[in-house]
Amino acid sequence: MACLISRANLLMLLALQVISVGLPSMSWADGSLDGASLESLLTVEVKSAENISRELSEAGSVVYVVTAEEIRLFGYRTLAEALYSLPGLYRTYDQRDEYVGGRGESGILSGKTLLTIDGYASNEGFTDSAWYGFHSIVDINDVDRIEYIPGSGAAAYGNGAFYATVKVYTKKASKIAETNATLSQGTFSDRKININSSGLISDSITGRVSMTAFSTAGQPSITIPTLANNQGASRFFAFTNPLTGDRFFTPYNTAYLDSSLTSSVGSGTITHADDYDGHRVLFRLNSTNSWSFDGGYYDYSKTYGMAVSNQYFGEPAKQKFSQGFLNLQFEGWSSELTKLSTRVYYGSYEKEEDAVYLDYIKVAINNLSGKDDVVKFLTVQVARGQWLGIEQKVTSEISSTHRIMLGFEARDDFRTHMAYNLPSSAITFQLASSTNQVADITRMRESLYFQDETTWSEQYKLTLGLRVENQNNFGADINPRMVLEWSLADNSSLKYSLSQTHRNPSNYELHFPISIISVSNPNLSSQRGFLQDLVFKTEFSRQSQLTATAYHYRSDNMIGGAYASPGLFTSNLTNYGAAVTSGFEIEYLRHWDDGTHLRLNYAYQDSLDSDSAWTANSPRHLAKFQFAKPIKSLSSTLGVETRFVGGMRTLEKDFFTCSGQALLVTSCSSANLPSYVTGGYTVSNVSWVMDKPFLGLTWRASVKNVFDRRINWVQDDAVFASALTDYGRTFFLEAGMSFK
Amino acid sequence: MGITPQPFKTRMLCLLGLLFSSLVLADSIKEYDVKAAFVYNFALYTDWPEQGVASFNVCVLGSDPVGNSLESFIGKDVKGSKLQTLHVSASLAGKECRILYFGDQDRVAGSKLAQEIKSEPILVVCDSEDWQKRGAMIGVLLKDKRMTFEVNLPATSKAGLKLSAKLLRLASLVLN
Repeated sequence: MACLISRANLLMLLALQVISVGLPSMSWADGSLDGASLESLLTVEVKSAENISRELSEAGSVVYVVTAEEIRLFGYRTLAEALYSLPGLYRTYDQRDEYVGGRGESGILSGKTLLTIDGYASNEGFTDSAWYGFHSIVDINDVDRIEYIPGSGAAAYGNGAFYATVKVYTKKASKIAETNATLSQGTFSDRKININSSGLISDSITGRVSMTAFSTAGQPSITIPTLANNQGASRFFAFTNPLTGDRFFTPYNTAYLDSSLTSSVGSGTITHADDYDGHRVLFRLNSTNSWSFDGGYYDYSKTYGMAVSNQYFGEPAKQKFSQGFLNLQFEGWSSELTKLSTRVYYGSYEKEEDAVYLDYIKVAINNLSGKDDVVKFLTVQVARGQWLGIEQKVTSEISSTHRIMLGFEARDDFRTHMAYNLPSSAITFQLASSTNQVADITRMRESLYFQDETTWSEQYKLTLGLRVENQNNFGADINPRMVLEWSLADNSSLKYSLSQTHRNPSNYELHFPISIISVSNPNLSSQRGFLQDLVFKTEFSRQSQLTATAYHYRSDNMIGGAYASPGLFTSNLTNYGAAVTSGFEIEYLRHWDDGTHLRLNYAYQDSLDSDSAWTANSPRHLAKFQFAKPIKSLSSTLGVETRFVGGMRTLEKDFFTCSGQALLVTSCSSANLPSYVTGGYTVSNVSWVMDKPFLGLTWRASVKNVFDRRINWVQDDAVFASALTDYGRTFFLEAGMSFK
Repeated sequence: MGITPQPFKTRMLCLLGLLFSSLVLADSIKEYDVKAAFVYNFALYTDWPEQGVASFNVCVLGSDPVGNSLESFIGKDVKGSKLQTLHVSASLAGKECRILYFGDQDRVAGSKLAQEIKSEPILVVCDSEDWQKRGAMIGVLLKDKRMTFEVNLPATSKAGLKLSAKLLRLASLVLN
């Protein structure tokens, strides 16, 4: 399949757009109202910027919003934590990063959701993921607003927006010079400093730059919990030597080989490393002439001790990430009701992971000869990618009842380098590896999209959308969507949307030379989704609203590991079966005049995996309560949150018991596995914010998990333990200063 | 895998791009710019108890886009003072605002601020439909594609502000 656009043409097109769109839009904005009289202003016909520029892509969805004020009031430290307050979303943590799950997907907000930052699609080109935890590219201090739009955004955004779209809007540059500095200190030596400054750069350009440095020693220990199930304990990954019957327990560096244990059931507390540190820079230039230029960069380094992907527990692994982007946007009006926007962007991503693994076969051989030597080897994974893209779209209000959007986007991942350094002496995993341990991949995606919104009698609205996306090594995919909207009485509306979406396998899934737990597969095909959403929204007043949604998602051709080993301990990535999730969410939101804030929501989700078993790491019940109340006598606002997450099924980790088969397991159906269910948990957080400066500084503090409840994080395939237990109560205190 | 790939014509996309590029961008007026111009006019047609301060500060709550539009008025003369804009968040302490503007998206925090300063000589302007309930003195509203404004006269009087007869005459609604 030939590319639509060669790289040279892409660059030429990019330059053309910058010149041809940028210059006229500058002259447009020179139309000034500086000298306009009051009388003349009353006669000016105004076009509502919000109405025209409102994304048609959001037409069929509920949009949940977390504001900067909520971030401030409730002391959120990451995007994941902020999103966790919304209906149906929950966090998970696997020692490497925190993830957000929802609507049947434990990692819904990493690999299958698009994260945009001021319009820039931040998903990297290696695993096609976006990150919401501590190594998110945007710092929470810079966030003005987060919008979570569940449901497929593929008709508007294509491949990345399989299950949802998250839009982050950062704080805008101000013309008035202002510098803010905040310093926080929390549990586990958690420290963070952020300095941001904004002001006027020239007569027509404002700028803002924000720099952040953060570090933590991390929790000193983790617990593999005892779970409420028929065997009374968590399971973790174990192997049995078929000749001796000895079992290997990789999470325990002191008990990796212990014939006295007869079951792979265990629990206990393990001291381990969990520290991380990093830096972020985000800048933004805004012109009054309708262009903006923004960019960001972060580097992040994390140590984790929990055994992941057969890793040897006694030797913590280290991951290093960096990601950067540049994003140039123009907006202008070709006529009074037609908006034209152009965006060109560049992105880069780099990851390196150094980890030590146990060579099981050598250990087994040694064991047979009466030795109990630990045989380890070091691996180094490297992935680097760079991409360049352009997007242009026109949104036009043809009449008061008819709007259309037409656009195209081309993204060229022109350099993706992946390497896996595996020593030849490591027998176990050499058996599983391909001979090629380096892969250099290029990928080009081009898309055309169109949306049409028609309103009848101001009561019914129909939105039709279509995005055709072509990928050089996959061909074209069509993502259609239809949305019907009824405007009911009393500020209420009902929307029904039907959409089809796709997710092409990532470069990692297709081409990564080797992974310890799973092997890439260049023959993978696209995952497909068929999504239905029903959204009811009513505003009781400007201050209170109720939103209720129901959904039914079916995902075919899922991509994941199947235990059909090309080697002894690895699994192929393959397409398998379908997963189905149905559920509903309800949220009540209210603001009072005195600044009191209430958010109350409940979600039920019923998710079945490809074996028609309850999907692992997918709680059925989630309920959140969020309340903030100003206390005038103390010039402060007190925030309280309580979050309930229901029990979750864990993944089976013991190959030995899987389907009653021994070491070489060829098929591991979850339906045949014993059910292990973590207990649900309820966590309460308290925050305190001073509304006025004290001692010349602004202050806020939070205590998370006030009652020190145990939180069980269910783990995915790559982690040996079924679940890990969180660190309990934590706190942080932040002081800030402004200079103007 | 999706449908059978159809090789698109490179020229098609390039032409499409050129088509977009060749659209002539006409002058037009955005809602926020008009609101900013209204605020500037309110400054001209209102008398404050204390005149002749060095800096006439228009404070904009939060990140309302009107704040950016107002920046084109910076340095303009208002009754012998130079107009400045300030972005404010939770407090006006130390800001010496002459006008406080807040948009619909900041109406909750705006209400709170307006309540705190209701006796101070600060003209509070809001674009929320329930501007009066929000404690504003002037509401700037979009009606039938044209901007209008409404005035709460008792509130301005209580704050010691005097609106000109012209301003009151052009208001679509004056609450007495």
